[in-house]
Amino acid sequence: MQCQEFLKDAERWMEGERDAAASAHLDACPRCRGLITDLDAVREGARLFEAEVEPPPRLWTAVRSQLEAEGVIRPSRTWADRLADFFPLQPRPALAAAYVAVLVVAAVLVSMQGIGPLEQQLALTPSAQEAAALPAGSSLAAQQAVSSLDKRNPDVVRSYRESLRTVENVILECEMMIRKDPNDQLAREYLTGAYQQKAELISAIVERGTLGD
Amino acid sequence: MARTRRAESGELSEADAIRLAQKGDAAAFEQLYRLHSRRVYALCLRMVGNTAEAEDLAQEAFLQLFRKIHTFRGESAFSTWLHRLSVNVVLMKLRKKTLPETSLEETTEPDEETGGPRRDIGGPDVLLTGSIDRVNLERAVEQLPPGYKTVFVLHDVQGYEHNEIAEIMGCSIGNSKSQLHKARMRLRELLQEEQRQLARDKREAARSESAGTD
Repeated sequence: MQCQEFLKDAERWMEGERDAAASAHLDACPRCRGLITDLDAVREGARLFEAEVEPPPRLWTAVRSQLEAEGVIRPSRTWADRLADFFPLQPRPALAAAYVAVLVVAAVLVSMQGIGPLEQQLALTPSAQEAAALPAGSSLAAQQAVSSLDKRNPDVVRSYRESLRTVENVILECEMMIRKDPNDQLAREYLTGAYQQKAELISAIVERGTLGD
Repeated sequence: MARTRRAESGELSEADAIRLAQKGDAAAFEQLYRLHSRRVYALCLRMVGNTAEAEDLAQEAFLQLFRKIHTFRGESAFSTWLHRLSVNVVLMKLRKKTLPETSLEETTEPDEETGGPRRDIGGPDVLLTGSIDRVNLERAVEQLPPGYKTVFVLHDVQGYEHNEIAEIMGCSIGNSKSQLHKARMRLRELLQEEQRQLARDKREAARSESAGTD
């Protein structure tokens, strides 16, 4: 192989496509060897530059304000919007409502600890007045927490059971969605929220059972 | 791994962020921007060589992207789509700048033999090993025609594969390989010429010094 021929092949050589003739020429020709050494040095030199550079914060500010002025970006979505995205079809609206109910009930239960007799402060709905068993497969912690409650206050027991049942149903539903689509980030967010609510609920129940009021 | 980290940090997946951004969600736009801005900005910076222009170009690229995001159907990867758009914005800008001084041929298809437009570069080969630093390479990259520069930055700096570059640039894989080779050959010439100039300056300085002592 002559230098002229090798020069035509240099591109392939640099891409890793190497044949015996080109290799033999390279061993014998210092000039072509110098060329390849230089091209390697240029390629390696490119590593001196960063592949990623943090832009100044004003860049996003400028992009955002321009897009807001054009109406392309609208204000951040509310919690209700995101719920609507997550529960677009039946039975998801019911689940969304249940989830909101759990949030409200749990918040009320947790915030009312130690203020006074719970049954006097909770406005229980008719459905909550009916005894509600925890769903099959409820966690041991939930079962133990409810059984730790003073049975002399049946309405309190029922309301806690109702709340736990709802939150555990939300958890089951979310887990089912995640099993269907492990990348369903919204389901994961809701699941995390439901776990937190459940933990707070159990903590409130345990505390109340311990106090025995 | 990155996906898990995002999930743990409570961020949306890219697919969810795109879906919400298509509905105008501000937080989703911001997440997409945060995900890609460093790479797009680095590309613009390397292509134009100064921060003010790079900011303008990155801003223009993201504005165009977000204005068109409702048309994204997922046929290609989102990052490929974004880079194609960014490259177009940058090339458009560079071509506007270079057209009065250079022909279209020079910006895309320089001389076949040398791999670069013919200039008064010549002399014996000078080995570059050990002489390439960030400053002289940066200077040489700035002198590359836009087409070569784009492929060099995408491949050798940002690590894209030829098939990705072909998609970004709308060319064939063979064309991407050929442009990259020509870009490296041209950089070699430019760097060699700089070394020769340095050697000439040294000789000149030595001559002046010895003339002064005589």
